[in-house]
Amino acid sequence: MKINAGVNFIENGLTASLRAMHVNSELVGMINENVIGFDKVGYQRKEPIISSFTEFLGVNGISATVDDKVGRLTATSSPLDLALAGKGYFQTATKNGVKLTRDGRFKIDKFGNLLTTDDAKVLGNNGLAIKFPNPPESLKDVIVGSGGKISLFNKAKGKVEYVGTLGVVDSNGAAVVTPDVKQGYTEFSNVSLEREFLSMMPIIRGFDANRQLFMIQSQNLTKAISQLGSVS
Amino acid sequence: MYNIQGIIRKSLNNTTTQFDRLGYVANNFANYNTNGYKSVRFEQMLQEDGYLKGAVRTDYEVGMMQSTGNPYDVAINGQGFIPVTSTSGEVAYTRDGSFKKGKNGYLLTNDNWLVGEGIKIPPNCYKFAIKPNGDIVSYDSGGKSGEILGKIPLVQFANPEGLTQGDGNKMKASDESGEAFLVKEHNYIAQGSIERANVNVYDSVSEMLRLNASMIASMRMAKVVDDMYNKAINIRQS
Repeated sequence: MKINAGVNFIENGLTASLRAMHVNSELVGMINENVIGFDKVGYQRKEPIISSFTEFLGVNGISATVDDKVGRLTATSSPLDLALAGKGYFQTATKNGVKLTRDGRFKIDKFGNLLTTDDAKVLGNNGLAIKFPNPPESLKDVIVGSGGKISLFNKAKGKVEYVGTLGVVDSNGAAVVTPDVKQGYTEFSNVSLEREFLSMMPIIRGFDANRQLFMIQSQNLTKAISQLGSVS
Repeated sequence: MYNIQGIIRKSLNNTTTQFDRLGYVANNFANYNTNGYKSVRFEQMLQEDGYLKGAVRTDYEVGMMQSTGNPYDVAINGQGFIPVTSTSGEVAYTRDGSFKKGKNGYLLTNDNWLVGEGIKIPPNCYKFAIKPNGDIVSYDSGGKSGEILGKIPLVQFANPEGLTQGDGNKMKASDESGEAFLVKEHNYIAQGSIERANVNVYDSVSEMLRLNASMIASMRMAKVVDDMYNKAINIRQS
């Protein structure tokens, strides 16, 4: 906006600086979540997206997309640790409805239900919870194929019995035909710490720069108020 | 939506959780030489709100068998527990089979709990053998097998992960584990052996490295965010 004497006046300059600082702190919050998720099983990196006009929209202009690259697979000692070597999610029935997760650390309760560490039932490809006919004596008797087929070796009969097939779906809820389930593995996050910390540096600088601009404008305003009107 | 205090809180939550995790790793290391010890895993779950929840799980994989040659040593080469009874009648379950003979002839654990409901080895017993199914058979000096003195019972649980850790290397039944049931036909008992702890040192070290990285990263984040917080508060000073 141009005022009378040809002086450029930026409307709401102070607010714009503050808004930018708020956006930057929000971005740091998202990076912080990734840093926390770094060594958590099944965590997927959240990539911040800054849309156009965020300088006017403020924090409402940022959103997150999930980075669905496969994380680091690690061998474990439990046969009930499952990892998805391809894209997709396990379905679990929680108190708040069906949830998708890549965390495949499962356990079996005394009734034979396949549960997550959070005590949610794991769903099969028929939409029903997977249940073992009876809890296996040793977890080593549980066999999980790469297609998600779970079977149990019956020692007494000397044969392998079918239990169920894991229902692996993509983020839209469509079934994944070849899920590539790995038994005896867990998947850690796809976060790399150095990348997170490096991407944080420009954000911190942006925060600092906006703070400086705010303070300059604030000082200018102070001067304008205190000096322009003075007669002495 | 985030705010600066919330970010710091999440960082601290993660840092303290990593300390907890270190405690469980240390627990495993401390029990590296405990007979029949089952290692514990501290599982962390990141909730949707960004805070962590933890669960402790026990790994019931059978540990390595170590031959001792001591006839009173018994190892379970398979799943299950030996029930033991205290002098006050309390029942617990153990996989530590380093037994001994008490002064009145009963087979006892290290800390003087009766094995099963009490198995007496008579003073005139020259030699005894423990069969793979748990039967204790006495032999006389001529090498002839005599009578069965008793049977070391073996019990299993529907969900052994639900057992709670008691004192002195013993487990206690809980609601989650279900009731103990006796295994009649088995060949798991190995006389003259001891089961070592199933602690994997390499896994534990790797876990320690990971938790350390996570802890340092979160502390660093807390510092960075605290800096921002400080600057946001002192925005009026130049």
